[in-house]
Amino acid sequence: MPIVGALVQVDPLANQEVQINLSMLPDVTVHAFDMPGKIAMIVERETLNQIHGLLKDTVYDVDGVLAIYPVYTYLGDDLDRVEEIDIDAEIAATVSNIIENSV
Amino acid sequence: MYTMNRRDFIKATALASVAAVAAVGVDPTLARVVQAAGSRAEGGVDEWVKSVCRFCGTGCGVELGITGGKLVALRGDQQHPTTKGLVCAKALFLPKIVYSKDRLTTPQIRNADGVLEDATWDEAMTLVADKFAEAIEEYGPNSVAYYGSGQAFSEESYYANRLFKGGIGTNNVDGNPRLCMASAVGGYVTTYGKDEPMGSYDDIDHAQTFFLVGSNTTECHPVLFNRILERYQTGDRVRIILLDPRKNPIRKIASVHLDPIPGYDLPIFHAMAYVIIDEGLYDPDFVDQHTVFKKVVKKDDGSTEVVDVDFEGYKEFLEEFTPAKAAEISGVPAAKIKQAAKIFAKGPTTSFWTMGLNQRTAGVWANNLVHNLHLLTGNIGKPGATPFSLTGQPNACGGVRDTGSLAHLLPYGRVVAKEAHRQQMEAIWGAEPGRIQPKPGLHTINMFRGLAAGDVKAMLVLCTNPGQSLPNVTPYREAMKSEDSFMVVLDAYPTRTTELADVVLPAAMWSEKEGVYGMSERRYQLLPKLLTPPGEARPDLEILMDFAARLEERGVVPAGYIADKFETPADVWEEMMLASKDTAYDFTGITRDRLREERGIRWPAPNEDHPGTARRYVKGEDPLLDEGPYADDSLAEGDTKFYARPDGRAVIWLRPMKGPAEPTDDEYPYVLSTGRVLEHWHTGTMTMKAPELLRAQPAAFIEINPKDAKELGLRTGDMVRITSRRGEAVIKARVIDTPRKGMVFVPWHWPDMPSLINRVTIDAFDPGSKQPEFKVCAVQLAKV
Repeated sequence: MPIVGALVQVDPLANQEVQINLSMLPDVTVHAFDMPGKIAMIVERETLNQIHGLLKDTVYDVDGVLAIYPVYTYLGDDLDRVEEIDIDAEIAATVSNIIENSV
Repeated sequence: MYTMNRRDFIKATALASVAAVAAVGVDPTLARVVQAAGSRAEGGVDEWVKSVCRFCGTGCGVELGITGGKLVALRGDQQHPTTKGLVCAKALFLPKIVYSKDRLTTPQIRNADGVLEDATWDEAMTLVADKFAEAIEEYGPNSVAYYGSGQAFSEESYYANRLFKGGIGTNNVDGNPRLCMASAVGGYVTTYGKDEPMGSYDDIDHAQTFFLVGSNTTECHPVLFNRILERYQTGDRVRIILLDPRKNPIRKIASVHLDPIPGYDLPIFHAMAYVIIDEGLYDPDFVDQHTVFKKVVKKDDGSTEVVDVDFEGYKEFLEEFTPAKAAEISGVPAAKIKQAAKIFAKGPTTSFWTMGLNQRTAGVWANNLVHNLHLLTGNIGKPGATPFSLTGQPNACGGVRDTGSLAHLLPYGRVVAKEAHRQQMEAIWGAEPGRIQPKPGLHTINMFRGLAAGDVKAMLVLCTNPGQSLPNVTPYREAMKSEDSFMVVLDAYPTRTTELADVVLPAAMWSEKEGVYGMSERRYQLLPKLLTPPGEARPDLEILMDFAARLEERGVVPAGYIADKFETPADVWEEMMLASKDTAYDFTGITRDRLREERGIRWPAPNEDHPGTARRYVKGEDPLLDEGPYADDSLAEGDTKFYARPDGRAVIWLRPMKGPAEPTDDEYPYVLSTGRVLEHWHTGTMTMKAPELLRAQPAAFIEINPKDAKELGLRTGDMVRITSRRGEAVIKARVIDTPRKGMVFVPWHWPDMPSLINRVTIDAFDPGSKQPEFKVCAVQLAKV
């Protein structure tokens, strides 16, 4: 399944409200930054079409969203294989921390 | 070592990438993931290689993830100095577009039954060379033509230009930038003496005011819009003036929106100038030291001449364009014009414009009038103050404008009409003296009219789709299809043009060949070859070299002129650098090695140590003011000098009112304007290969103002017949208040005949730039 990482530019005054609204969307992980006006979201769906549809039709219509930039795209289908990768302890902890602490 | 699920790791990496692009001060945990991004552990990607996006003129840096020789991932290049890791939705689908199943893989020749059938390269190239040689021998060099593209690599355009102008001896060399930005060229040249913007994207970070004219930056240049948005979000009282007859999304954050009747905006610029002078908001010192005023007058014998005017004469001229008078003509309230003028004058002001200004029969004049505002207020040559024409194609600037691959130009600011320029290029090219003709060749519309009239017998079309993109396309399609003309088309995909061609040659695509793109801010960037072209597809340059060799063999190009001189794009680049020396474009310091290492360099850069130029015409920033033919030691640091004009001064032009070529009337009461949407690009030959993008915008639509829709009894979803004096299209209605009343808008990407809107548009063109007026024609509307 493809994975897309997108930067969402939002009205700084609506930052928290947008975060909450985006975090309620299925297949979406939202990560808030310290700086208001910018939110990271990761979308994972069956097809790029579905991801694009979500970004265009749903996310863009959320009040306070000004623009969306999909800055990272992974298209490979190898993720459907359950594969473990070797990784050092610090990175493993980092990744777990990110996944668990997303909004 | 630990193990973890790859999916989670990639998700975290994606998050880290976004964080880095957002430049939000990556925290230590995220930084660890970013650090790991180059490792094999990153989702099965063997190697990340820097490149540049294939689409618009923003020139976004991308990194391509290659595994086993295949493109499997794409991400924004965070090290890219101007786009800093951002890309838009179109780039997301580039891997799919490259691997589209309908790629052309075999040369094809049209048989006696009118059907394209597979051929060998030798068969196809022999036929092409024979047909061109026959035409040249029987009818002379001006019976053949080259129609190129702002998407071709610089080396490809330069080589084709060299072959046709210096080898064959015809100036019938033009290209699709004529359709999108020729008026911007005309504006820069008539105002400052040479083409191309003097500022850069850096100016965005310093501007207090943005003047966005005829540009839906949000959808057409979204990454640049982000940079504007970032500046806007600083809270530093940044203002945006939007001038557009449509309510495009920029309106959400604009301080003032000027929405003129399409084609009637010239008085607005003059009225802004009137207010700026009337309220003492201009910069008298800058005007006095750096400008002259000029106008064109008609003489008794009907000819015209340019005459000088003084400041008082300019003020008197502007009396005809008070805000009240401009409001009457343009439909924009005088108060809004005054407000816009005051905001503009505060500055520093950066103006961006695109097709809304250029695709007009008064396109050059409209460009001049934006420059007038910058010159009057001294909003030029300072951080955040610049008049900047954005480009819609990735290499219209570097590839076509700079290499002089238009009918009246020669490389790097030279023109065919000047003997000294012809002699310089003949010497560099090793052409016979006098081989380059002094008269401009056929510009785009006249080239295809020439094809229809039988004057052009053979044409080579490279990397573009005139069978869909020309205005009033029907007669030109018939000319392309005619058995009396011979047309060869190089493309990666089947298009509305390949279907008309006599020979179709399969071309390599982005990332399957090496070359340079030069984007809007004068930055030259190298795109490496990373992939193998499918089937028998070959890089365009290789095809052109084969063609040139065969023309030399047939004696219509002098033996030894070109075929044996180059083997690679890098060889061509060496000569291009040489051709730029001592010109206003000097990039002799932008070597191939630097291009491989660096993320683009902005010319001028006259030596290898020079980092590139953010701001031209400014002492201390522009190296050409320090050394070479334009050097001026009398200037102090920070002084401006428009050295491309003989007197070093820019021109403030007094341009009269001029409306569109085809105003509305009782018979054709609506204005049709064409444009773009985010998901698609140009004629859709690439973006419509991504099913996701096609599904997102599957069909053309016509935006109709609710008031007009009510009068016509139309609802969203109804089919509408759009009829002009030239043709018709049938397109689904979208009732929305985006266009002003009396105006309709149709995106022009779709190739299906019912919605091919260029059957309706007008091929009237600007008398100076020869750019057609895609933005304004008169139509009827009827429910089907």
